[in-house]
Amino acid sequence: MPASSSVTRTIRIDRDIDEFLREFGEREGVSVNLLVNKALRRLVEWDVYAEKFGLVTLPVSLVERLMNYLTLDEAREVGRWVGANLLPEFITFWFNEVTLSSVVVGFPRLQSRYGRAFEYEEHVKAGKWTIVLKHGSGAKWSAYYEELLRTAFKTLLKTEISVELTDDQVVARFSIT
Amino acid sequence: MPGKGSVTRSVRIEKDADERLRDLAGRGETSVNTLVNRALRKFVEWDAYGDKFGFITMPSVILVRLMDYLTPEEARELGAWAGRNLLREYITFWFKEITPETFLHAFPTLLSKYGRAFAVEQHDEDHRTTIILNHGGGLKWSVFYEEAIRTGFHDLLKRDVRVEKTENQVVVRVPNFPEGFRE
Repeated sequence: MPASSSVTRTIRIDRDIDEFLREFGEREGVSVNLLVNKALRRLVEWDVYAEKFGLVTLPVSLVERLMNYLTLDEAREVGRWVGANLLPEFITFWFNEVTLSSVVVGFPRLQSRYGRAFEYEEHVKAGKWTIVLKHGSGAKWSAYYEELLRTAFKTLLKTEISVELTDDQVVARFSIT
Repeated sequence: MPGKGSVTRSVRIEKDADERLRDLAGRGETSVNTLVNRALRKFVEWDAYGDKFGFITMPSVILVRLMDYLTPEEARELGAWAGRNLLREYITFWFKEITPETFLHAFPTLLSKYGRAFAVEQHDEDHRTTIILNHGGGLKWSVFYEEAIRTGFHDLLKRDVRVEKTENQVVVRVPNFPEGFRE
C-alpha cells in the first residue's frame, strides 16, 4: 500500500537505465519518479519473495494452451490441490499468518498486481463478501479457480462459499464476520 | 546489459518502500543503491515490455503438475507451437527483429534471468556454442524445451541444432554459431 509521505534520496543510476526511463516516461506520459517508485515497490513487495518461493514467469498464451490439454475435471483437481496445499504455504510465506484479510484481500491483490493472473475486485457489506476474479483465460481456468477458492475457504477459513462461473470470470460470495 | 557510466539523480521515494529497501539492504549486506539499480534494470529489461506482452507469474510446482497431465506427444506438440509462434512473437516484441544475437538474448538469457523457469549456462568455443537449460520440471518439460528449441532454431534462424535431454536438463549444441549466420 503506498504511504502518504515520501523521502528524497540521491541515487546513482546506470546511464543506459536513466536514458531508457526518460524515453519511456515521455512516451507513456508518466514521470521518471513514478517509474522508479513502481520498480522499487515491485522489488520490495514481490520480487524478493518470488525468487525464494519459486515463482516463475511465462507468457499467458503458453499457460492457457497448457491448461487446454486438461479436462474440466483435471483442471478442478489441480485447483483443489493448489487450494489445499500451495495457497496456505504462499500466504504464510508472504504474510506470516493465514487470516481473513490475507486470504481475501492481501493474496489476491498481490497476485493480481504482480502475478498478473487475474484482475480482482472485492466488496463487503454487513459481513457479506463478494470477490470477483477476472482471468480471461477460458472455462478450464474458471473451473480451476472455482475449486481453488472452494477448497481454500473451507480449509483455511472454515467457510462455505457460493460460486458463479463464466468462461473468463469467477465470482465468489460468502458471509463472514 | 549494464551500460557504461552512471548519473546521479534525486528521486522522491514513498516512505514505506524506502524503509523496506533499507531493511533489505541491511539484511542482504548490500547497498540501497545496488538494490535500486537492480530493480530499475529489471524494469528496463523485462517489466516495461512484459506488462504489455502478457506474462503470468505462478509457482513452478503448478506448471509441473499441469504438464504431468500431458502425454509426451502433447508436450512435444506444445513445444513445437511455442518454438514456431511464441518465440517469434516474444523476440520481435522485445527486440523488433530476429537475429542470432536477439534470439539468444531473449531466449534463454532474459527468460532465465527474469522468468526463472530455468537456469542457463552458455559456453562458446571454437565456433561452437553449447547452451544448457536446467529446469527441474521433469521429463515432459524436457520434451517441451527440446522441441521448442529445435523448432525455434529451425524456423526462426534456419539452423538445425543437436539437442540432448535428461529428466531436468536440456543441452543444445550449435555448430558454427553465430558466425555462420553472417556468411
